[in-house]
Formats: sequence, C-alpha cells, structure tokens
Amino acid sequence: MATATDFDRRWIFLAIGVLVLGLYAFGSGAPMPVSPYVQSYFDTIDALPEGSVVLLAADFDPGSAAELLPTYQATIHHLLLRKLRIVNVATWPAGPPFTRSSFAEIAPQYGAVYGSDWIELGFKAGDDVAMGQIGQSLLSSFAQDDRDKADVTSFPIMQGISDSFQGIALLITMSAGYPGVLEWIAQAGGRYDVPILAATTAVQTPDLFAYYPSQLQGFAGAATGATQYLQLVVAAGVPALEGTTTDNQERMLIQTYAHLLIIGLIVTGNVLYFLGRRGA
Amino acid sequence: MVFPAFTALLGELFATAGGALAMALSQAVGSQAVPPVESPWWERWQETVIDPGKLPTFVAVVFFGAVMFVAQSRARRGVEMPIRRIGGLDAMDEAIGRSTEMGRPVLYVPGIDEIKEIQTIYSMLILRHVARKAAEFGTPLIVPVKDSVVLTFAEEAVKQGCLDAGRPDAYIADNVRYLSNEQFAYCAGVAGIMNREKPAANFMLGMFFAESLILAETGFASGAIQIAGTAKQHQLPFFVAACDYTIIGEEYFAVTAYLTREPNLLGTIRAADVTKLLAIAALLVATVLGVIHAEAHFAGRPSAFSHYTDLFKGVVADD
Amino acid sequence: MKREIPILLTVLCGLAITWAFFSPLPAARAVNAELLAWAEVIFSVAFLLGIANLVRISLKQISARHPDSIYKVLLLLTMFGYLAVGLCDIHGWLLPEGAGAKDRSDWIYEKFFQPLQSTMFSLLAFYIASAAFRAFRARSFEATLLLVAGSLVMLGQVPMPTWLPESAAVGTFLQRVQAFLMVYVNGAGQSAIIIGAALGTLATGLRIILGVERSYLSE
Repeated sequence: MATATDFDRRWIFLAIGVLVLGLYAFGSGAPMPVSPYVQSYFDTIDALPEGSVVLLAADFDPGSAAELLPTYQATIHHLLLRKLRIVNVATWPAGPPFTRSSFAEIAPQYGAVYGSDWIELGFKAGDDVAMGQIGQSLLSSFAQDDRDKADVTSFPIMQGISDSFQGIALLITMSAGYPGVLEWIAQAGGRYDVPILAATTAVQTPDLFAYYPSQLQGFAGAATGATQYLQLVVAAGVPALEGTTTDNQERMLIQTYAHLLIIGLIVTGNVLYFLGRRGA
Repeated sequence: MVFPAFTALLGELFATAGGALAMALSQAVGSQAVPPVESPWWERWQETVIDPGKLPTFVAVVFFGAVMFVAQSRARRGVEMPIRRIGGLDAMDEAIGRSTEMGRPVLYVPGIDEIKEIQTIYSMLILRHVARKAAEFGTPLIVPVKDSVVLTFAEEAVKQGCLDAGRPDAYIADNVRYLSNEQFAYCAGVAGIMNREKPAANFMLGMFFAESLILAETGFASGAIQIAGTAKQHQLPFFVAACDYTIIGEEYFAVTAYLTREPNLLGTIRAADVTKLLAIAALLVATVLGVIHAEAHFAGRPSAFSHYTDLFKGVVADD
Repeated sequence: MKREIPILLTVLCGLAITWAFFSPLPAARAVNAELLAWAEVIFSVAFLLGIANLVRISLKQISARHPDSIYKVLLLLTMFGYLAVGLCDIHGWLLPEGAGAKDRSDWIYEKFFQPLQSTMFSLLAFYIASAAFRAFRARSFEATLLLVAGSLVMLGQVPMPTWLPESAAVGTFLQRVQAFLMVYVNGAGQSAIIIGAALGTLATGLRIILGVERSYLSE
C-alpha cells in the first residue's frame, strides 16, 4: 500500500498548478461578506475630518505585493477621496518604488498636488529603531523628501507636524513582516497613542486579533481582507477600482478551490495512513 | 551633546534627594529638562525618572530580575532545578553523529534577523555548542548568514566552538558564508546549499519569516534530519509540519540551560517559570473579578470590585 | 581587561537604552538616539564585511573551477553591475536624455528583482500542499480536532462559490466560525506562546545586559 511519503510530491505541485492556472483562465468571482475588522479599517478612515494628515507606511516588498498592493492602492484612493493628506514613509527598502508608482497612477485622478496633498519621504533604515526615531521626530528623521530632494519643512503638508506624532491623525501600515505592524504598535501606538490601521500578509494576520480593538483600530489581513476592503471602497464611490475588485474576487475564488484541494489532500493522506496501519 | 545629556540626567536623579549642586551643574551646561523646585517629590519622580504609563512594566522587569537573581543563587548553591525532556535537544547529538557516519556536513541556519534580535543572539550561543559538537565528531559545519554583523558573530561562535573542543584546526573560514541581505535571495541560497552539498543534519534555530517552509521542505526533500527552533509563533506550524523535531517558543530560550546545566542559566529558566505561574494566577483573579464586575454592571448595580478591575484594565474586556 | 571592557560597554549601553525606554527625560532620549545612530553606522559599514566574505568565497570557487563557478561569476557580475548602476543614478552619470534619476535602477528592480522575489514567495503555495499531504495526520483526538478547526478556518477565509446553495449565508457562517476560532482559541494559544517567549526574551536580554551571559565573547 502506497504511503504519503512514497508519493511523488511533484504530482501535488502539478495538481495545484493546473487548478490555479485553469481557474485563472476560465473562472469567475464571487462577492465576500465583510468582516468586522475590515469594516473597522474602512470606518476609521471615513471618520477622519477633511484635511487630516495620515502617515502611510509601505512596509512590504515584491514577494508580498500580491497580497498588499491592492489594499495599499485602495487605501490611497480612499484617503484621497476623503480629502485626507498623506505622508508616505517606508521601513522596507522595497516600499518607495511602490509608493512612487501608485501615486503616479492614482493622484492625478483626484487632482492631488505633491507637497500639499501628499509627500514621499522615502525609506528609513533601522527597522524598529527607525520607527522610534520617526515617532520622536518625523522632521529630523527625514531631512529631505524622496522625490524632489527638497527640505521637508518647505512643503505645506509638513506644517503642523511636530515631534511625538503631533499633527498625525492616523498611522496606516502595509506590513509584510519585520519591521511592521507589531513594531509600529510598540513604537507608535504604545508610546504616542496614535491610532493604527494595518494591512498584513496571511501569516501575520492571526497575531492581530489579540491587538484589536485596543491597540489596533482595524486591519485587513491577507488577500481576504484586501478583497473585502476593495468592495467597500468601490461601494463608497471609486469606480476605478471595480476591475481590481473583480480580479481579487476571482483570485479569492481560486483560493477557495485551492483550499478545498488541500483539504482533499489532507483527507487522502489520512486515508492512506489509516489503510497502511491496518495493512501493517 | 552626550556630556550635557548625561549631566542633565544625573542632575535630575539627584534633584529628588535635594541635590542642589547637581541641579546647578546641569543648569550650567544648558539642560532643558529641569522640573520646578517647588513640585512634590513624587510628581518630580514621575516627571523625571519613570513615565507613569510604563511604571507597571518597570516594576515587572525589576521583579523578574530579582526573582532571576534569587533563582541563580539557589542554583549555584546546588538546589536541584530539573528541566523536562525536550526531544529536539536530545536529538542534536544524534543528528551530528548521523552526519559523521554519512560523511556529510551539518547545516546551521541562524535565522534571518539582525543581531539586535534576541533570538539571533541566542542562536549564536547555541551555534557555539553545535560547533563544539561538530568539531568533536570531525564533521564540517556550514553556516550561511543573511546579515553582515551576524557573520562576524557566527565566525566567532564557530571558532570558539572549535577551541572548546580542542580542535582549532576544525574551523574552516569558508564554511561561514554571507549570502544576501534579501530574504528570498538568502532562502534561495540556503536551498541551493541543501541541494548541492546535501547536509545530513539541518539545524534551523532563530528568527524566521516566510522562508521557513521553503527551507524546511527543501531540507526534507534532500533527506536531512531537521531540528528547528524559534520563538516566532507564526512559523512554528510550518516547522512542526516539515521538521523531525521542533523546539517551540520558550523551549528555544532553554536550549543552552538544557545542554550545559549551568547554574546561572538554570536559574533563569526557574525565574521564567515562577513569573509564568504568577501571571497565570493574576489572569485567573482578573477573569473572576471581571466576570463579577461585568455581571454587576449589566445588572445596573455598582460593583465593589471596580477598583480592582481597573488595575487589570486591558486584561479584562472594557465596558 | 580584554573581557571586562566589552562586558562593561555592553552593560552601560544596555542600561542606557533600557533607561531611555522608561524615562520621560529628554536627556535620556538624547543618549538613546545617539547610541542608536552609532548602531546604524556600524550596521551600514558591516555591509562591506559581508560583501568581502561573499567576494572572497566566490573568487575562490571560480579559481578552483568548482562545478558551480558559473553561478558565482553571474553573482559577482550582477552584484557589481547593479552597484555601478546605483552609483550612476545617485550621481547622475551617463544619464540618457529625458530619463529620470532612478529610472535605470527602478527598471532592473521591477523587471528582475520583483518577479524573482514573487516567484520564490509563490513556492510556498506548492510546499504548503505537499507538507499538508505528508504531515497532517489524525493520530489522536487532539490532532483530529486541530485538523477540523484548521479546515474550518481555511474555508472561513474565502468566498463560497455561487453554485453552492445559500452560498452567502454559508460564507457568513464560516466567517463567524473562523473569527471565533481565531479570536478565542487561536488568540489564547498565541498569547500563551507570546508570554512564554517574551519571558524567555526578557531573561536572555537581562542576562546579556547585566553581563551574566558572556559566552558570546571570545576567550
């Protein structure tokens, strides 16, 4: 009787590959119910007064872009739709290129002006140490902006921001690992009491339930949270994201079938195991 | 800049005991952080010494330190402090012996985080022990690292391990390798080492992230015996699924105590256990008080325990 | 003194940083900021050590005509090539007409690095399936409970297909089950591991800061 360890795992790889590619080519999407955590993420942004400054941290890289980039871009749409002002930072070196390309695509749709409605401060090395320094003093952490290399204090958006997160109404992080949301909670939420929202990869999401709602006001975890949030933002009046939302819903349905396949593999593995034990 | 900061700090500390000279000195070098002389001493204490919001944390750290010192002195006096059996640690010697028999190297992956992460520092302490064992058995030890500072610590740990075994010639500089600072580039490099050099034993001890499953599965496919350990809870399921032995959470910080049975280290484990028991007791008391308080609150009655539940705010759900 | 001075430095710096966490004094934070700035400089300079190690080992393998030496040549060419492109971008050397300052390094990053990194990350999907098939066994009651809970959590994360009767209601129900398991069951387990690991971290940190743990020093 064949056992699970005898089975060539390349058949499993092939099954996953055929399933995902097949559904990607021919499948369709389905709407998702919105969880309270994602609803809270949306509502916290919606509740901010116009003109409030939000610190948006792009703490991810290409490996996690599939999960986090949709939420990142939807968040930018949402913030600009509500006429909130965005200060962009990153504690991952791969973050700034995503910021540049996203704002290049999205900002013109809202007539946003660089330096007044948003600013790109770039990457700050030092992980949680850098976060602590940003908290202590944003202005001395970034002497120049990342795009024009001009003195940050010369930009209108930076007026009214001072040490200890004074002037920052909300911190939002797209967190792919370390440093990320947990470090922002310790360095910013814990020390300076600034509200925090987070979008994270699937692996980190289980951690966040313990921090909600006291230290984390809302979160959109993994592609699931991204799809739910996209649905909310489209309903709020961002038709530009309809295509992305449909794509995400299709991808989530692919994930449904992939999960069913994995559950099927677990059941098959157990059947082989118990048959093997009985045979022995 | 540092000197005035230090004198200001000194001035503030002495000010609470009426140290006027120190206060004058700190004022002379232009310190800004001088509280008004007329404040009561406990207010000045709060303004200068400990942030009131962090006082519970400070008390907890000091308490833990005190328990640790008491436990260490008891251990040094010979009081027995048993540690339960941890399968992965017992298997370390077996794994290195298996590599020696098969004539293949041992691979030690110290995690992907920087040296300032405590798990990485601890991994260097374990590496020294593994290096000693590998040198005693005469087995090559390969240590790929992701961070340049970790590289220097790893080189030192392996050298010291070989010296501890009385085999300084066993140290091969080229076996401690810096691969890349990028997570998946490092992962690809380690997977390459596993596939090409086919180590018979893989030790993955430290802080890991998304690459943990890739490393563990690649190691399984290459036929190595795998012992993994991390206190990073998201990666534990992947290690449990793919490795032969997994050292979970706080067991990871007990490795050196388990292997060396040194009194100082055993005392630390005992202190952690005592603190955990106290934390469990506090949580149980808080839960009971919270239930009583919540029941009174929902019934519209004042609760005699509200003062006590306020102490545990954050542990018990807010009203 | 060779051991005492590093231990003393470790103790002083550790206590200064710990004090800065607890103290509201600007002076304490100034000391902390200064030490952290020194650490940043050390970490940055240490890159050179890593590069030197990589280059030394690669050149050794290339000169010994190791079977993998072609990959070492590619590694060195890529590393120094991208370094050269980055330097040209920073200083604006050899910049084509109309091109942005970071266009070249961004292009390499988007066209090579991002796809490679995404590819490595995507391996996880395949490896999770093979690990699940091989390792998840209902050997005991607890293991069976874990498998059932895991399956419910997996299904609670995803939308239900529309061909399923009452798919929206089923999806909402599974989402609630998933949330319950994550908040209460998973939350309790995670908190327990976090508390244990935090105490271990505290103990190890105190041992190193107070100079009790010295085995990281050479003898």
